[in-house]
Amino acid sequence: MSDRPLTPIRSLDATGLPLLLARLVVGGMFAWLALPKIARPGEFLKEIHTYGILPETPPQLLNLTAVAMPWIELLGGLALLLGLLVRGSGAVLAAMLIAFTVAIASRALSIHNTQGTPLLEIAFDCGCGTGLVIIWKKVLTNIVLIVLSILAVWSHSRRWCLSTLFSRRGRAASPSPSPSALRPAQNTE
Amino acid sequence: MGAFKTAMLEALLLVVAAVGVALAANAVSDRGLKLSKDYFRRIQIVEPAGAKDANRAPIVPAPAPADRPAPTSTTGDIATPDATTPRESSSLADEPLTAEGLRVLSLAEVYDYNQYITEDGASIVFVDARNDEAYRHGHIPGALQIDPWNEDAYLPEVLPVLQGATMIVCYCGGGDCEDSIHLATRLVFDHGLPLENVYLFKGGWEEWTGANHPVRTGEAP
Repeated sequence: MSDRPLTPIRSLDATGLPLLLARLVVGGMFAWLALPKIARPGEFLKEIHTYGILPETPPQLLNLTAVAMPWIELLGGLALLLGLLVRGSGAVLAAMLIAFTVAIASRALSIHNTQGTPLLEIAFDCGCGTGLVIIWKKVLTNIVLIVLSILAVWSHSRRWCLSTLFSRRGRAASPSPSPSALRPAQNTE
Repeated sequence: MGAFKTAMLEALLLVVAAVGVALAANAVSDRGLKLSKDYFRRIQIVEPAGAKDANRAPIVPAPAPADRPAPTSTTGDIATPDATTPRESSSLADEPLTAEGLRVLSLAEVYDYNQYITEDGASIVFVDARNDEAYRHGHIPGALQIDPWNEDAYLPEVLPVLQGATMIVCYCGGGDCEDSIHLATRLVFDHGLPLENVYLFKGGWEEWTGANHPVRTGEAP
């Protein structure tokens, strides 16, 4: 493995701070907002139905989505927070954020077109767990979260991640670890 | 292993694990969803024809027994009774009962029927289909509550009352709210209440409070 000098961006990534920020913000938010959806699946089902994206028949599709999605958010958020399966959880949460954002923006546009409400004044309960929200602010927030989620997928750093503990143990049992693999800030899963 | 492949494998592992946990949790939770149940089945709605016809006779609550006592005075934290509110007149007797539809009541009809709710009687029952917070904040006097998105928590107590009633008026927030329709549909199809006993107040809470009719706060009906 070559020891090429790191680019400034990779140097910053190697500090582990960008990833830590992404993990805390995205992971913490998803884990926290999943709890009310898990506690009240019926109301979350109603919110999903409001978007009209999923067909009503067969009902299993809507119902399974309402049951499973909050748990994907919770486990994905916790995994990111703890630093386990960082790339996978980042990818799942990024995909969900992109889907949510498109759905919210489409619904806002639909309200704008049918009711004539100015886009900047449109507010509704997006089913995100935060109650009534101003939609343009929600879309902007989601864009920031998408960037942070993608950062989690892209980052090579595993500093302050629980996965580092497991990989260290694995390497300790290995007969000939490579020198580069012993640098915790540059470990990959 | 490439970063992309790693991300996809980890994502798959995460989703499979989460779906497994979700199904297990849903199976043991008393708030769990029934996966094969159509929660959005809607009964046909029959709008009243000519409800605003001023020449119609004053409302006579047909399901009420002839010897039913006069409208009772409500007690507790009733607010803003407005006896001067002009009422529309219409008669349910004029509306043909449609075997396949849920009949809609006007505000005036709902107001009049509400006067026949008594503490001990169950002939006319109002059912509030909003959540706990909204119900505590204010509801139509005498209305029981069933949150249709957590109905199992309310049905053991409320269903026996509804089974003894001859008139059940369902309402929710009004406006675009459809929870009262879903609740009424389930009362008929899932819980076997006679369709002819179930009515819908589409204007709901919004229309009721907009007319300054009395409201009651707290958990008691």
